[in-house]
Amino acid sequence: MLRVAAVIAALLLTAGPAAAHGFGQRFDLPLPLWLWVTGAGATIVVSFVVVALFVRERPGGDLYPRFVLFRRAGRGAWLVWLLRVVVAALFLLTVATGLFGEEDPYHNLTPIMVWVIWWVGVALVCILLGDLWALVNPLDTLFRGFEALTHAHPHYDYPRWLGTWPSVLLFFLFAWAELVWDAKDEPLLLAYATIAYAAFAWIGMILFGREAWLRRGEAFSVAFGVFARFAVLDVRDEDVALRPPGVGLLNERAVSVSFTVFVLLMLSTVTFDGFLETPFWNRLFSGAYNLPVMARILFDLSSEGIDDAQVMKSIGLVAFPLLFVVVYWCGSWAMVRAADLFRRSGPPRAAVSVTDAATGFVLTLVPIAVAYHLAHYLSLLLTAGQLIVPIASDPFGVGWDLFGTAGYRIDLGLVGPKFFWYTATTVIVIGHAAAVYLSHVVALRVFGDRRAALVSQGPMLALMVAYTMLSLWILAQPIVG
Amino acid sequence: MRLSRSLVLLLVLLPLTVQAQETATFNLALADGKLVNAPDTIRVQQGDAVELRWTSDRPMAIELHGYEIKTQVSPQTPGVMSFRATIAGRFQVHAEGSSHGHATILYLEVYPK
Repeated sequence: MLRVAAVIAALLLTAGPAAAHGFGQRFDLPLPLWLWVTGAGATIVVSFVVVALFVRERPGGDLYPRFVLFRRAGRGAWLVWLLRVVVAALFLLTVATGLFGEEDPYHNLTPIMVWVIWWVGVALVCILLGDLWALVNPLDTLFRGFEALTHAHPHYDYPRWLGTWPSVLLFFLFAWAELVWDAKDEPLLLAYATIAYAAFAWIGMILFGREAWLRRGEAFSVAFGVFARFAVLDVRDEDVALRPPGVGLLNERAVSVSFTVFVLLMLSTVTFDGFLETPFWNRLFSGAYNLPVMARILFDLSSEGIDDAQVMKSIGLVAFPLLFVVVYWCGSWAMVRAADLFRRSGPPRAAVSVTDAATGFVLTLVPIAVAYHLAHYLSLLLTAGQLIVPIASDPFGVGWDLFGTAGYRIDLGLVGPKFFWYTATTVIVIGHAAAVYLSHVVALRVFGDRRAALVSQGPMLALMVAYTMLSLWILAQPIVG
Repeated sequence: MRLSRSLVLLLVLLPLTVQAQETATFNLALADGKLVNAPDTIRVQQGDAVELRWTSDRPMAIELHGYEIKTQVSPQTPGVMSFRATIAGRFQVHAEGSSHGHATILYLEVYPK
């Protein structure tokens, strides 16, 4: 068993034909010092303003304002289906170009589609507008087709103990592929990975039913769903409504522990992506060679043909989320302790456990991650994303020119660094404000007592400021490697 | 600590960027595929005329990404990259032919006006 694992690891970690340089290479200038300091200052000020507003504000109800745009009542269903069919066709095309197209990632649809248009682009739509993935998910569409043909019924009830854990595991593997895997830009291997994921999802749907699996086992439905809770469009079965950004994260009841871990995994991997490009990571990496034990292990592995950089990144990818979980649970513990100490004597309430706090507050961290995601990936979308223009005309890289755009060359000057600097800083400060606000609302609900709620937010505020500072710090680092 | 280091860096680089009004020229020497006696990042202002003059103790191919400018350098013949820094951003210079494979040897930072 161990041997098989070792062989698989060796296969995955052995560098393929060395790509000239990473697909989606970044050209971002680090935030200038003054802007970093301004952003950090604004973060602190905004925190206190939000807290001060809360001291005065009467606690309102949990419901947020909704402005109904239109009632659904089956209207527009054909439009949604048209969209579903188009996206399913795009999905099949993306797999086909990977299998049969040109090997060069710059002349093949698969890498740009997966890493930029889908993972960055769809996430962006989910964050700003609403849950696009739930609307068009091709795995869902294709399986619905399969269901219609075979009249298949789920074999088992989804076990409760399994929770969102399948998504946690699958998202971890995805993050590994995105951040560590050397061959992630090779169209053929990327197509295999996509097929493997789709097959796994379909097996899950066959066993436990389509909807059960989409809700807990399809990592991207869960991930994009988390992002979309921030969005302004509130899509329900009966209607589509507008709501203030972020309020969708005020979950009506506490989420499960597995879902909490999933959210923390998402937040930590998004941050880890930026962290890997900092000089600090490079120093950690070379520092590892100063430890005789690590140096020996890395040396032995590389003599087996396993790339040491990937080993180090893999270790980081495990350690980073674990660190997030531990720090967050400590923060939750501190929150509960603070609230207990300062609770006014009154009618006794059921004690709030640390787990209650952790699962109750986790979604309030999402705006900070969403903001960092936007700040980090916007430039990638606007630079590397332009590759879709020539590739759309020639998805297989065989010399077609379907739309007459095959000769388009990427314009790196489309938007300048100043645009990114100001957008990134603004977005991060706004995201922080939203997080602090949401977490105060949740505190009122979880701890009941106004004073206890306010005091409980001391540790949470410290946690959020630290997290926001980490985001800003990474953006102020020069990108290396 | 960071602030003071940035200030020092600023003071060191300020003369470079001021003279850059005409042509910012950088003499870059490679030994065993690595830069000798130079910082790993050079900074210019957007719009500057830039000239990177390369010498090397071994034949190498050097490429400035983003601007997509390539040059060859060998012990006998120096390589020159001469261009106007029209695009702002941070760009990697890669070298091929060293024992370190395809490595980043220098970053060029073009700051917006």
